[in-house]
Amino acid sequence: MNVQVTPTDHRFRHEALFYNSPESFLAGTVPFLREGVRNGEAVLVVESAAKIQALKSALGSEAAGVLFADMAGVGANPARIIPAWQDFVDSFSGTGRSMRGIGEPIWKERTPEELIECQRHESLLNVAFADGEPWYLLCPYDTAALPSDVIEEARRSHALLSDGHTHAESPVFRGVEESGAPFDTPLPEPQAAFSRLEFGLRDLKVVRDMAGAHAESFGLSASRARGFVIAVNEIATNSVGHGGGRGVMRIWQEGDKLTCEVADAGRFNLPLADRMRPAADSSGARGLWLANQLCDLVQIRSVPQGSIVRLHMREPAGR
Amino acid sequence: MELTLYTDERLEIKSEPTAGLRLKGEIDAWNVDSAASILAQHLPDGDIYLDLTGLSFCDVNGIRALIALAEKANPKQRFTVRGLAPQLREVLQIVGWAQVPQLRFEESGGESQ
Repeated sequence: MNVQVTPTDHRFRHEALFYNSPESFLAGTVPFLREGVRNGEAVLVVESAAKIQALKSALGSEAAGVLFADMAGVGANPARIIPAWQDFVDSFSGTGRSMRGIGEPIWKERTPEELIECQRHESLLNVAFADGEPWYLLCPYDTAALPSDVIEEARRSHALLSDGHTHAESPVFRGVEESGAPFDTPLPEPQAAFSRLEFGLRDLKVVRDMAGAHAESFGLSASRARGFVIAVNEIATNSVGHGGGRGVMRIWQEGDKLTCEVADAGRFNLPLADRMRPAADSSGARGLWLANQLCDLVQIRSVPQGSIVRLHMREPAGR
Repeated sequence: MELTLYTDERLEIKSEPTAGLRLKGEIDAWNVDSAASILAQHLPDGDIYLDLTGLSFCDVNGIRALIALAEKANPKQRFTVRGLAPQLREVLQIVGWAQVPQLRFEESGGESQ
């Protein structure tokens, strides 16, 4: 039986929905969407193309009251998902309409690096929407397909848990503050040979040339290679500007992935800095924003010595 | 008469009576401040032409500096940027600066906007 919980609660409601079959997925999502449509709420679904199709069929004519976006496009790089939700919330905040959404960022084909960043993304949602207009986000997790540690982490990153019938507070939710704590999950050492360069302000051209040479030998398309070089240059520029004036770059190719790592002595204090659309006049974290738009995956870590940023490009083209 | 306003190992800025200010080379954090201040000092009073056809790289702060020049220009001055590389235009879009009312973009070959 549904507990009476609506987005008129005075905070962002971030709830994990555990399902284990196509039927239980629809049973948990369709009534949620119908309720939103019937209440006149703004409703956005960010799901796979297949799930969008299934939801549209199940909703019938009420699908017209729902906005849909393909998670494969929006969330290929999970750091682009919060900006998409932010755009949605900004569009409807102050209009008097309540808002709700469904977003499923984690599926079993996610690579290990993507999975970790998706989990970080789920935690950061708690920070991103803690203070704005309240809304209701439901995040489906396929318990039949995903390993138990992924489900356990979902219980920590969501304040509320649902099985489609009942809703309960998560006993292990890490809380909003802890959700934005510096992220220090270790990154695996490269398993392939890498190029390494210690750089300062004068060496940014060498940084770009090295990134460009690797992009070419890896076989990135010309436009993705240029994007990669631009992103690497901006991250290295952050090191020479805010990261103690110097940085260490490592770059390597492993399987279908090209990775450039930039480490420096800077502190990364703003958990959302890489996913807030830069204001036109600010000189803030444009480099990280840009990297997230140009690269397939960006990983940021706080370590005792400072910060590490890894930029990943996959081939065939993921964009 | 062509006048060299600035030169370092990566960048050359020239002024030509007909072509306006012409940049060749690369702008990054190492030379962006010098380049921006040279450009600001040599902006003409009339219409402004900035030819970036030879600019093979410009970082985000460099682009920001160019936008700042356009924003500072007198509204009666036409500020035209010629030959901005496609990937730098993409950067402009991503960081949300593509809509500076004073700024016009032109392909190397002819006018596009």
